[in-house]
Amino acid sequence: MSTAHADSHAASHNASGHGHEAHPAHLAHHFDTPEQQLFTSKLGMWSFLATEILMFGGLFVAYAVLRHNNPDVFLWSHKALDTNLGAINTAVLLASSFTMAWGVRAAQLGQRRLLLLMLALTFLGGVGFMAIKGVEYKSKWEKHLFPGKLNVLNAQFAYGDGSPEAIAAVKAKTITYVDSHGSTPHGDHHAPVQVKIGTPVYDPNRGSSDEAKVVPPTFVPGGTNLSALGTDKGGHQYATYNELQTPDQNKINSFFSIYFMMTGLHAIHVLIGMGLLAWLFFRALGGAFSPAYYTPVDLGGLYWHLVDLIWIFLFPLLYLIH
Amino acid sequence: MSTIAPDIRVPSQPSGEAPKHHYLNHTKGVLSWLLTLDHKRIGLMYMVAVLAAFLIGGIFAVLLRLELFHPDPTFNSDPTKAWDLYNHFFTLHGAVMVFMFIIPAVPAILGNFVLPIMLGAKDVAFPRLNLASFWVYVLGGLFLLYVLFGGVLYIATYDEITGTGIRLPGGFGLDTGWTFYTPYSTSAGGTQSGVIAATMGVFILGFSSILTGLNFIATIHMLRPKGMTWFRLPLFLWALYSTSLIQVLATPVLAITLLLLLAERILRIGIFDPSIGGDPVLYQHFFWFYSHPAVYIMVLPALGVISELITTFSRRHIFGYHFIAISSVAIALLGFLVWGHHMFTSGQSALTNAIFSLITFSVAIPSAVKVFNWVATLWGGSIHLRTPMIYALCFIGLFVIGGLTGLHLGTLSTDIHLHDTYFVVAHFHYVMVGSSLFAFLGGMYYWFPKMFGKMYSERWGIVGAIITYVGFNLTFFVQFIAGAQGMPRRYASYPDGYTIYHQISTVGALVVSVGLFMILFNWLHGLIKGKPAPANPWGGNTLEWQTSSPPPHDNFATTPEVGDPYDMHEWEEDKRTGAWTKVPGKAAPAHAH
Amino acid sequence: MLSPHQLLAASHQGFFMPKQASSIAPHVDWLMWFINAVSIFFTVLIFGLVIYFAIRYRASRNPVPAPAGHNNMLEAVWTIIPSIIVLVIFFFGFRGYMEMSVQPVAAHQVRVIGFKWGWTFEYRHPVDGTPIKLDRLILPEGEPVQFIMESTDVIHSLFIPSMRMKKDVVPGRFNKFWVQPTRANEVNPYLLPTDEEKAAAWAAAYDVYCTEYCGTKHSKMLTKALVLPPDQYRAALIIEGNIFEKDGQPLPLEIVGETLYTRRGCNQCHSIDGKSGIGPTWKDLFGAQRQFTDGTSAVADENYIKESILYPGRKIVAPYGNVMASYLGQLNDREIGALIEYMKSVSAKHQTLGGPQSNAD
Repeated sequence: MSTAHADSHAASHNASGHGHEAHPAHLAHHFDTPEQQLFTSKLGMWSFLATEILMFGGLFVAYAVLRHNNPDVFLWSHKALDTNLGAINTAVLLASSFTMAWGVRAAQLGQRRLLLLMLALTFLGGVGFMAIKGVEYKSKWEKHLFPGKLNVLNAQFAYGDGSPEAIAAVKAKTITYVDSHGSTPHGDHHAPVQVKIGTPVYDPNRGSSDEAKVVPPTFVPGGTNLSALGTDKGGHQYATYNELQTPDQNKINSFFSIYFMMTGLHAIHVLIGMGLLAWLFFRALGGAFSPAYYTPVDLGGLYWHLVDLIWIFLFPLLYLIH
Repeated sequence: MSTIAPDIRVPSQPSGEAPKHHYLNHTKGVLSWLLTLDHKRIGLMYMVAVLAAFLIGGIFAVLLRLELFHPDPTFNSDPTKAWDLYNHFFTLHGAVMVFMFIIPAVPAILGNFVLPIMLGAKDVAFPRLNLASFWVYVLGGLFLLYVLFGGVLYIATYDEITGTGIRLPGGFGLDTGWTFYTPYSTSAGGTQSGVIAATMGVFILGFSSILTGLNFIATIHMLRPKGMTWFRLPLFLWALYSTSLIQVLATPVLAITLLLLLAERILRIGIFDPSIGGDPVLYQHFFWFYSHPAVYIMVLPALGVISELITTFSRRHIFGYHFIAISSVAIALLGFLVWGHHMFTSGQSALTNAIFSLITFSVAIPSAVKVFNWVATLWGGSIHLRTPMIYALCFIGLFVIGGLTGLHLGTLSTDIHLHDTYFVVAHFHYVMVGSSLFAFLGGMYYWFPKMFGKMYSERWGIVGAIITYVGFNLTFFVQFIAGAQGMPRRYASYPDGYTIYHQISTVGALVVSVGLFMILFNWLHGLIKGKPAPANPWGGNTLEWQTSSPPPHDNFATTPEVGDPYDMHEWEEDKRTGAWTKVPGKAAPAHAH
Repeated sequence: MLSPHQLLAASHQGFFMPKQASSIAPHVDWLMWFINAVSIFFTVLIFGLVIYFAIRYRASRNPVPAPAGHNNMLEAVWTIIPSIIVLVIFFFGFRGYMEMSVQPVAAHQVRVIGFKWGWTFEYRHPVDGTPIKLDRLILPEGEPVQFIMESTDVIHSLFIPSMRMKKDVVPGRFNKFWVQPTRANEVNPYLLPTDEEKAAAWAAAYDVYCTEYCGTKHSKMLTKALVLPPDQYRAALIIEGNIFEKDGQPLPLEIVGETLYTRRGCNQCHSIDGKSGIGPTWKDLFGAQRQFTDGTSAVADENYIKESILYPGRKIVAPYGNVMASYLGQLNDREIGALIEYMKSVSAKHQTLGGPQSNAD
């Protein structure tokens, strides 16, 4: 695998060690041929992608373990995600991967204008993805569907020391029973929920676009006492987030923890990728790339495909698995 | 910056006469060092930084041992304060030693300096990344040092009456242990506020490690010159290659673990903390998925160094080259599958424990194979007991003890008793400190002439090695017994029955300190007043001995001759100067000894 | 009559490992010595060879080295023999571990609650089945005991060296192990008359450690395990079961409170001699003006004390941290009352307490 370049190696080891006259400008002094440099860069990039995959691999394992610990909670909570928006985002990223691959091809063939166009389109794909992601995040934020102490509804923190009085105080202030059947007919990206005291309410049974699939009571986290709660028009019992017992709310936390960590880290990678695309665009504008030298475009493409690939795994794990 | 290489026929570099132009004086000025892309200079910068970290970690080690000299709290009249102090000391000792010293010691110092030269390349594949890796290391180290300084400041200004002291924002000490176990590390309060800064630091240090590993992999794959086939690679490079695989594949898991830990600590999301829906044992799985392979990041390069030393100073071709080479890769790969043996008592299922125990034993085999091959190399050799060789022989002893006591810990029923006792402490110090440190020191002595073009005092080198060896065994061997008697680790004060073990151990630690300072002074003395080193002071046949000492900027003035790295029979010693020169065509020794 | 000194001399350290005190200890120790023997053999072999070769083949004596060597037979031998040895060790380790893991039937049960920094061992009263909570272990000789363990804060680990048993105590899940003690302690403190003798007898009981690092007082999270013959074990539990009475006579509440103070771990953080610990001292606390971290202040009366025990996070006295775990459900009102009486007994200020705050229960 590395013998092809090795033959020419000895020849270039001349006494000067810096044979600039023999080296193209972009060829570093410790390489012999542009091919060797390109392959080396690619190997480095692939190694880096391996680290990225292992980094996300950790999150996938965490997802699997937490899901294993509370399978019902994961089934129940993922209903709050909007499958349509997730699917659109998947399509957007796939399309941008296609334009990226086309861009690399253009760079190899020296088609500068096509390269610029493709880089711009890929960048726009990133913008679109982030915008849709933003819409999703916004609705989760409004419904207090996120973990941690920033969430005023999070029992662990909102209820102070956890005494019955404190819990009662918080509930009195924020809990309003809302039958969301009428108020959120089309999932979480549509009209905001009608609430009495300004607190949005999460109704997992009516979550997002899975309206037609009414969740049977067995999907509600084990041990949740539903007897005091309402029933929907189909006669099924359901609970709102606020009415769950504290331990159940905490379990739901674990789904949204992993959801935000996974999609958040992925979003950061998309942003970094967009930065790379912008940099490549301006370098290409300056005519830096040629069929003889297009390594950065190639590597940027590899990175973008990886970001795409990770999303291909995230989407079914978080949105689709029932 | 292009230079004309000095006109010297390298193998015949006359001893006592340093080359006029070499990498040390290639360019001048502070910036030419701080921003250098030369792997040799980066290696030396790493050396300064890593040795500084070693000094800090070592000071904490001595403080620990002093507190433990007496069973009751000694460092503060207020026992609570003394315990807190101790907890900070052992945490920072562990974190600094593991993340800032042992992990980068051999790969980043010796590896950076030697790898491209041994390979016959002009530099590593990505010189800029290499420089970035160094500065990332410094940045990560600064985070840890901030916590450390914050802790010292807090303790120094602590007022017993008001119970307060000066607290740096987010950094007055760290008392979680270097393992950052949840939920202790994520729960609020106490004096743990350094957790965020420290985990940030370790996170950043991890990237330094990844960049180094990635660089080495690409270099070994792509920059081998003509004739340098995989099975002509020196064993040190096989070891570095295996290490790099671990660095690249395991470190990102640590990164995501620490990221989750940070998110949990700052935002209180529920991944690890059971009170908010998480799973604390998940953290342990994640942590050891990195940290067990990390043990091999520390040990594998050391094993590689020892292979070089043993063969060179035995003047004999390494025994079982292929077996040693493959065993490095085997250890690296098997090392990924054994992390669960740190958690036999955590409550994971009996079947899981049994599987991890079985795989753990499988790692013992390639390690044993290496040791037997070294011993077989000594057999019939012509052994020169120079300083590096003394280290190599000491290493074999320490590695054997460290490895064999691993059997006690890998065995399920005995580990239940020994887990988290001083037996574990002694075991991993034998492996990580005994082995890695001795190999690092031996490697430093071995390549010192190449790095600086100077020789050190042989006599003081050997004395320093023996003092350190004796002190080390004094410190840690008794800890096996203390541990078997049940002495738990991370105890600031302890029942009276263990006093004798701790006192012997503390005396040993002081002896080690003396030995280490002798080594440091020997290096400094050699650096300033040492005799000029010949190109090949040991008669080794790996490529770094075919260039001048110190090497030129581009490593080789003439194309080195690639051959069997351990066929040393053509090298002859000039007894008067100590320089070895190559006599082409010299007959190989006959089949008798 | 045994002096405390003599009792302490009955230490449990044996040669290399603590004296065996459980049914599985002989299995563990046997394997330990087997591995020791293997280790010593290989250590001596390799040290011996290295030293012999370093002398025999030193350069001055053997200037010409042997030619390059490799020997596949030799490689196979030193791969296969260690493999067999480690497989044997693994097998015996696994067998011993299965014996530890498989719980015999009809065991006594002890609930273990680990907290920063102490242990609560919950037994059932042998007669009426009511819970008995102790800070020390009492175990019956020759009968298997199951431990069901949980933690209220961070991870701890219960370790009884003499019984070769250890298990992490993890919050959010129950971990279990069992032991069958085989060697009763020589002296039963419950049969001794004076407090000094009792203390000495307890000091001679088996050590129990926390082996998972858990913070400031990790190294003080120690307790004792007392092994008694089964009839004495029952009798001891009955004695311990009634902290409000002694020899059939009701005890003053402050005495009961003092018992609870040590038994339920209050003493781990709160001193009674005025020293500042993890939490404020109880000396002169009752009736004193308390300054809180949120800037408010109050006089420490019965209601405040009760609130602080049940909801410790509500009012934090400066400069302490919010460290204490709630005792909600852990202490009943009668016990809290006893603790309050005990706090009064160590406070010089409570007699002077008057005015509107003194509407105590």
